[in-house]
Amino acid sequence: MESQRVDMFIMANSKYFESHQIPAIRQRLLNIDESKWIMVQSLGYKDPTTSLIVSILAGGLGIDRFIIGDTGLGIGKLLTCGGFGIWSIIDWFMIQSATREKNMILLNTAL
Amino acid sequence: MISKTRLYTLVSICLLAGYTWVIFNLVNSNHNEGFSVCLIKNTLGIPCPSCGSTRAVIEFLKGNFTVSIYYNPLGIIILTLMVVLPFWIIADFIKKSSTFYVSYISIENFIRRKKVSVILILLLIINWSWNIYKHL
Repeated sequence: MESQRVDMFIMANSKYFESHQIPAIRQRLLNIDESKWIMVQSLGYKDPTTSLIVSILAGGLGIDRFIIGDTGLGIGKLLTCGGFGIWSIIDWFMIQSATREKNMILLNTAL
Repeated sequence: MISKTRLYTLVSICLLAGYTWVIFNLVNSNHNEGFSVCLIKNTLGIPCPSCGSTRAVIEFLKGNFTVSIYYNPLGIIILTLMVVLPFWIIADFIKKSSTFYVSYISIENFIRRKKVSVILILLLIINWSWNIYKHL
């Protein structure tokens, strides 16, 4: 791909990924085929900020985990009052990087 | 998709915490009135969907099945998981197989289906309203 378009993509979407992954993503996008570009751009990335807000407001019900696609863990949180309240507090700090990891997995499936 | 080792560690930690909690409550069953670890109950003052499940598990262990269901029907699900999962994980660990992981993924995919999830969410909301009504 042209470097200009890749850089545009990185600028618009860098908040969805871990910062240490950005150089690798850029390199991989530079190497991909034109036909995959539309796929990469149309993926629905989850916003880490949204999941943090959901985690603070409804983390005890496990809704943050449901939103990022960890259905099993969400049920675990739901059945245990947010993991005795401890897990929900831990997730206030973990959920953003968990969301970014999910986005990376999503991007990997498209590439 | 959660990795296999991570799932097994997480479930083991949850089981250990769960057993500790149940034993702690069994020992202190006489004088733990008004003590709750639930974040929602402590901040909002209303019980969460799974509040009362500790009492449900303990009443079930004592043999009072109707009281157990009155406290929270989810307690029976939790108790079943607490009894089954340790054996399943240990069996997987000994045989070096991953039957639990495979089942976990397939159950997750089953629950993600729209019809199933809508029914489960409705049941949960009914249970929650019942919890609030009972003042658990």
